[in-house]
Amino acid sequence: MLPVIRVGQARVTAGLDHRPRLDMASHRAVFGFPPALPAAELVAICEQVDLRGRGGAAFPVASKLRAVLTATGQGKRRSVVVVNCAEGEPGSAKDKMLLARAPHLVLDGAMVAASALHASEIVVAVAGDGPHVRSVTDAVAADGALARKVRVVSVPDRFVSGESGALINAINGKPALPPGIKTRASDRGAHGMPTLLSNAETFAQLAVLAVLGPAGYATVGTAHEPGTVMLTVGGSVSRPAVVEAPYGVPLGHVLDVCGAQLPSAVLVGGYHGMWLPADVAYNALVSRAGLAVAGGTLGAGVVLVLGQDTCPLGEVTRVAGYLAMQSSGQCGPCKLGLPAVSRSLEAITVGAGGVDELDALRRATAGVRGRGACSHPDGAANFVASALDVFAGDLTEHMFRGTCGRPIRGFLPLPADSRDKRLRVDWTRCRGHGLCGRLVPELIELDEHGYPRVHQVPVPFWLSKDATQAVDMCPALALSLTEDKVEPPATAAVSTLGELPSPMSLQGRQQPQAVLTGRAWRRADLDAAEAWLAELGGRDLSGPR
Amino acid sequence: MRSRSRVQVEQLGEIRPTGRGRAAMILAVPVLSLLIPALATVIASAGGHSQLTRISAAIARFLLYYSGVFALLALTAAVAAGLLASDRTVMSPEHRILAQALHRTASLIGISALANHIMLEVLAHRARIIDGFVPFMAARNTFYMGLGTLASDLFIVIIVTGLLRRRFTSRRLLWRALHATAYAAWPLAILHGLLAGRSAKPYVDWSYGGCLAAVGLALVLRYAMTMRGRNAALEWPAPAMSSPMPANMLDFEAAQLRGSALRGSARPSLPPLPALPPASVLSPLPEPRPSGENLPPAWRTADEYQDR
Repeated sequence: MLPVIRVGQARVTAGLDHRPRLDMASHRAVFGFPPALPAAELVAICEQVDLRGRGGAAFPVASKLRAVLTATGQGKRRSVVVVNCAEGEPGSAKDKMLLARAPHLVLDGAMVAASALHASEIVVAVAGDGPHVRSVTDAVAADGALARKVRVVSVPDRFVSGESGALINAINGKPALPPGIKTRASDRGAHGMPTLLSNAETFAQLAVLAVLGPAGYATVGTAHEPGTVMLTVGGSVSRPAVVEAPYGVPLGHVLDVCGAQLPSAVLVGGYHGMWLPADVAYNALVSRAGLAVAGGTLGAGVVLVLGQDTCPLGEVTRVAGYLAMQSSGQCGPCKLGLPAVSRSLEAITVGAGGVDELDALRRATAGVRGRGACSHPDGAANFVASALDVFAGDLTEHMFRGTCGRPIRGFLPLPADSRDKRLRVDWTRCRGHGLCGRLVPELIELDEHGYPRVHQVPVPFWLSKDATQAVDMCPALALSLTEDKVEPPATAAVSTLGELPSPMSLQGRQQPQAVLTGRAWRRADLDAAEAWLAELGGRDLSGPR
Repeated sequence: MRSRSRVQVEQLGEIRPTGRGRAAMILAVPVLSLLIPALATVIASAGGHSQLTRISAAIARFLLYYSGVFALLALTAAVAAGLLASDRTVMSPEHRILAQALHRTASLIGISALANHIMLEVLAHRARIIDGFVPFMAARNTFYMGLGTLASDLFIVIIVTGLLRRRFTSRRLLWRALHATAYAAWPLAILHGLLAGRSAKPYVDWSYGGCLAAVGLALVLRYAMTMRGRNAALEWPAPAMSSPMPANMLDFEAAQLRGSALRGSARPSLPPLPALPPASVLSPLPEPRPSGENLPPAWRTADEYQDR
């Protein structure tokens, strides 16, 4: 079980010090019964404390409630409440933790909203399997009123499954993919009815707000952002944990509490978020405004620390490959652009890319922005672009020396499935016919000799046909599609609420990377290289801004 | 549905991989090509004078007469397209993909027409079932009928192993040997077509002769090109530098000269490299690390980021 750490007053984590899981009786002992609030009053208290959705978009809950009320004629027509716990972000575990350890708090919040809206049904959407699913089904079964009203559904455990449109599609019996035409869930959501959709933490906070009242709720936090926030802290930390902290606490304090080890940079907001240099991260305040000032984003509260003993570019490349393959393959700029971003990053990381590759990378990153049905391409572009900024020094080193000399330790968590298939080339047979590069350009790029450069990522569902065709059509029978034989890395544990990978647990798994040995590099070389790069790229990478 | 003690978790939003149902579509072609003439023959042989009976009889007669010809034509196209798809000198990769697609489609049509042909011959009592699979057992015209059966058996093996091609990546030579028997099966099929049944018109004889000659020539060319290609691969030219960046920074001065020469030719308008800024302008760089694995963990400190 991922440990829970608390900074300051207990709110949604109240009671968890004494019980691993709050069952009905212990939950009532801690929180009592939430009051039945009429819709107007619920909207008013949400507005007073400016309660925002905690899934990443930070949309005001009061506005959502109001939109549903308008669409249902102030509760005269039926509506649905959807609790989004399809936490697709690999680094996030707070919603799973809440469902696993405090399921009644989340359900209380959903019931408060449902009774205010006169909603006919509550849908709890989870992803994957694990203690959080068993916990929430047990919690629903423990209460007759809940069992009549609540439906628990499981959606595919993918990055974009938690997108509200994808989730609504899944609930309506369609594949869990983001829709091309946006409709607001508050107008037409689950079963075509007006729907209040928010993430599990939002409903837990709503329950706390209903119990404490706006004045009680606002005793912690900042003036503009009262209350507490749930963070998931992982990466190179000795105590990875879900952290409840009041808004406004310095991020450095949270990092210290979790035992961050000499970070080189900190990723805030998850894989759609942004990198902060270590010193900026330590001084940033944990709030939407505080992180925005620092150049980051709070998102869904994912904080991933990157230690100095791992190759940052390699880590970013792993995640970029994952993000590219988590595209749904629906929108062209995303399904072709993100693999291009990831391929360029991979080339630079392994020392096969120079300034032209960096140019291509920047172009590809900028080219995907705002060009998809959902925000996946934008989020992935933010992630990569901020990495290029923060790790500019490492980028230079990789381009000019081929490596930074550090292994890729895999501190950034990624889910792994042993059924994943990858394309492999038998190099003794490949004759560079080049058919594969035309058939599946997303995964195979031809080098200047015409030989394939295969992108080492699991083949996503939307490329399985093309990849199979490339295998079938290889004139030399050199290409094959093989299942991963590697054991799932420790990073897969997040989906089952296990521990995030700690540096210790990954020591044995480091992938050695080619280290240039022999002659020592001279500082003058790098100085000159940086100056040259600055001249070519039109950017000053070396001097103070 | 929902019990009191346990709440069901519904699995929703399943996403199917692309390319499912492709096998079914491929199988549908031979299956339909067997079902339709079989149905037509059954209806026709049931007798009667309805419109349906007459249409069925016409279809059955037409296919009995021509399905063998269609099989031979399609398989000829398949052999030619396959040969074309393997060419590297004239064909671009895009065209080779098209040729391979044509090769597969023609083979599928060919094998369907072949199955159709054998079934109709059996239904018309011109051959026994065993003659469809075991060569040289026919009562009359034993040799040329046997050639057809032999060719048909080979084609079935070739097409089945062709469909299972991706399973043969570890036994590539076996697959190649099996697939190359097409060059033996196809002339056998032509001989069977020309000599086992009704006598062909002269232009048909000439066309097949031309086809044989063309494929023979292409085969010789393919062999020659393969040999040439192998020799050429031994003296592959040195790769051109894809970027003016030196791969090895230790040769910086030389690389700088080369780089500026390259840039001079590609973009003559660019001014030469500016002089390097004095070292004091540059941010302090970390001390060079000792080689080996035991790197100090904090070789790059957080201070370096302060001025960015």
